[in-house]
Amino acid sequence: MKQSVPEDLYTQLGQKISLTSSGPNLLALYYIAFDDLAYLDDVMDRIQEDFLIEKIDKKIHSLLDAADLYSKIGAYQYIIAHDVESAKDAEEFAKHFIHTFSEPCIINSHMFYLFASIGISLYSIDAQTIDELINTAKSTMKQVQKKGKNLIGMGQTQPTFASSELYASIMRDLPAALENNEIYFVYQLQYAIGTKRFTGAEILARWEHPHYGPISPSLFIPIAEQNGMIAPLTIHSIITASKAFEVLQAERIHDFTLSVNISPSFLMTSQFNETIKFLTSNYALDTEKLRFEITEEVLMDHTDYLKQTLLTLKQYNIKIELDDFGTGYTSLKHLAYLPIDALKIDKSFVTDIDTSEKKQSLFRAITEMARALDMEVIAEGIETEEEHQFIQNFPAITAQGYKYAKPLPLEAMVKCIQHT
Amino acid sequence: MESRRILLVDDVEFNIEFEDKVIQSFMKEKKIDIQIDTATCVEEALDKIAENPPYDAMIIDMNLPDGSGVEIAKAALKKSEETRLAALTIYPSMYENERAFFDLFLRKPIMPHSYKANFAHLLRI
Repeated sequence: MKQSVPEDLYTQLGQKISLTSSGPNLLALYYIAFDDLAYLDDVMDRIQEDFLIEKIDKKIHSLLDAADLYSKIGAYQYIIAHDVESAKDAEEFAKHFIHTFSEPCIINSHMFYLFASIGISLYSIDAQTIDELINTAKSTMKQVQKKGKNLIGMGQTQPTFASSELYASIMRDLPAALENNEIYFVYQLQYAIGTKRFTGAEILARWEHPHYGPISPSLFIPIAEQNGMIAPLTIHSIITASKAFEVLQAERIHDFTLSVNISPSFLMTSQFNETIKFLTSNYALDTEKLRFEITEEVLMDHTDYLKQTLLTLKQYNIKIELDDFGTGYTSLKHLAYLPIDALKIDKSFVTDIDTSEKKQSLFRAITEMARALDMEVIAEGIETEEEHQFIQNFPAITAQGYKYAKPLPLEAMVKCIQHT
Repeated sequence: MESRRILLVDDVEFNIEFEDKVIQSFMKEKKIDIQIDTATCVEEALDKIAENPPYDAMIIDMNLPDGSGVEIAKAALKKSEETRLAALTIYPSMYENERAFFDLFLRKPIMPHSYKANFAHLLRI
């Protein structure tokens, strides 16, 4: 039976298939459905919906090459087809597609996230005919749609990344986990080498899943960035900081900073500044002691926009720390251009620093550069006595790592501070 | 000065506090007086509805420890059909059959920007 796809797409797919079958490439067909849009009816009238459809269409077009086939086949359902060299390429395109739609959509001041499920089938691996190609992609899309949001499934090849049960569970369970406190926060203390005191802590999210047990942040944070949960998660960490500041004050622990990780996928959205404004004016946030950690990744693009955002944070006296410094893309130009207050030297520069002269030279050079730029330095991942001994040569810096304290719940952290 | 009375129902203290702050700050911008009552379960919400004059609006978490938000919506509508009702849930698509009881479905987790916009829509302000 023929699909309910436009006749011309059907014809074009036929032509594509005959071209592809004469060359070394595969033809990848993506069956894409945006789901859970029913609730939008409440906030959008027809004109706004047309506008949304136009926005989606425009975004999809920005991802396509001239030779790609593209067709809208139903309410928020689309087919894309193009040549790929391998299944991996098709998966990469689908990931890129989902990433492109991970930014929230704003129409008439309503903000919402679009969640896509993508089924991929490959000619001639998964299918031999046009019908098979479409059917396989469609049924794969239906399968992944049941598992969660923003998922990718491939015909018969089933890549572990997109279809793994754990991945799907994380995607599905994240919103509820935040609500029912399965996600909670711990504090990694920071130790000032010169004064030998704890002067701050980084707030870290942890997730105790009822079925899977502890889930690593390295797994769930990237997924939160994909499915739009990173903004609520960040709001939770900032409000957690405000509650912690109250406890610290009650315990007479002053001059103590708290750092919150800010993901680029939230930082670079238009809601970021407004959200921070709301939080700083409605919660007991001691902004002079609040710090935001951003990663080098964010420095790659849109530096003018980023600078504006960071300068707005400066108005609240929030300091900016550049996390994982040395592992990514920071150009020195960015350090001069952007209002960054501190560099967090990545653990990889510090591990076994006592035995590596090259690492020692690099570490020294970074601290000297930071001093010249009037930036603080925080060394991450100090774990051994030898590493600690080497760091002693730098009284101006702060250090964090298991050598000083493992990540602790708030009460344990307070006790730890009081006993040093 | 114009004024409104609303009832927030949610069993998570964090959410109640957050919603309260978003609404307060929004109504301050709009220069409208707001009185916010809160309830953390179906029973408490039903008591509040019975004891008080009809609310202008309610924002009701659908998944409560002692029942569903639909029970609250039914009681509210029985008291006054004028009360505007919003359901708050992580999974709006799970409540297809209950949509008729509500003027609006809001998705959790709450973001201040969209919550304000939806709240304005709910109160028609």
